[in-house]
Amino acid sequence: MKKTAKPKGKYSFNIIDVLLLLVIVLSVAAIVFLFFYEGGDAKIEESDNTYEIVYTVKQEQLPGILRGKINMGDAMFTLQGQKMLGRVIDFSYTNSEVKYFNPTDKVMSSSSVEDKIDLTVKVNTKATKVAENIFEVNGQLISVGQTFEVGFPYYTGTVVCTAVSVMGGVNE
Amino acid sequence: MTANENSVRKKIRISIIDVIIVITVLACIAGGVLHYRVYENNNKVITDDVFYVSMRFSSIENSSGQKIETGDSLYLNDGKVLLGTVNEVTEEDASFYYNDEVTGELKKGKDPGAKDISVVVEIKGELTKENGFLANGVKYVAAGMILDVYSDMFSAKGLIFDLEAKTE
Repeated sequence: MKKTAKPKGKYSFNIIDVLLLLVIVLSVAAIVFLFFYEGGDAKIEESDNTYEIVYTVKQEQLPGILRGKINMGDAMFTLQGQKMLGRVIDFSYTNSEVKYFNPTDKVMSSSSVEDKIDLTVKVNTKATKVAENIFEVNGQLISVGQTFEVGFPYYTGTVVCTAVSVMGGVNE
Repeated sequence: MTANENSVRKKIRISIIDVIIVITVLACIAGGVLHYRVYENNNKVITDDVFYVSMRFSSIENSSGQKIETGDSLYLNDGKVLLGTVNEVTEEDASFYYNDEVTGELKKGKDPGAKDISVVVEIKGELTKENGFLANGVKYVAAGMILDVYSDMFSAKGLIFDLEAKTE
């Protein structure tokens, strides 16, 4: 008995078409990943609890030779794991002021110290609110008084957070 | 045309769907290449090149017998791996801070019994806009970092304070 072939439509699919479609789906997924994954920036998941914040970090009494290593727009990341913490929107270097005891007048005084500088950096990022005045960026708590080791492309150091501002409000 | 030839032609017939699929695949590959050239390549500023990294070793006592010279190989204590080769050495009397006896103010002094030694080390590595310099392609090195290093006649912790690409 002869087998009768099933009637085919004009644009019938074969196994090659299915495989190629699979390749397309994977390729599109790969391209989307490559275009939209740019390190930690994309990792910050947005929710109702996500705020755009600007926070200030400081490092005091650095050797003067470390001046000028930070640039506007630099990424700031955690030293461990290089997780993105935001981008530099402002920075300044000032001469360090040190307190000392004046034995003659028997009072505390302060003056700038030769070759010592203070670094202040303002960083902008999206952050998750953990509690009042406490935020989290890629696992790092951001709140006044927090100390953390950070890296920039051309500089690294241990900084302390001195201010956190939410767009539209200030937590200092 | 024989029946056999007809059968072969039928087997290799390309449908409109095949053409669309091939065009899409080619477009995806082109997109990937474009992304690499625009993003990855732009992020990577310099690859596999020589950089001059400046380090300062503070208050190395003259009596310690420590010596570091041009051409010395400098190793990282962490992992005992080669960091680079010393290209330049400059020394000056060590700086230190003290409180003025009368005013109490912090002042800077010089100690002729010790040296502040600055060295420039030639290190191979890569530089990216986002993550900075990776010494030997793996270790993040930036100004402000303190590295524990040694050579055959020298061992100390040094502060990285500058980095620049070698220009021919």
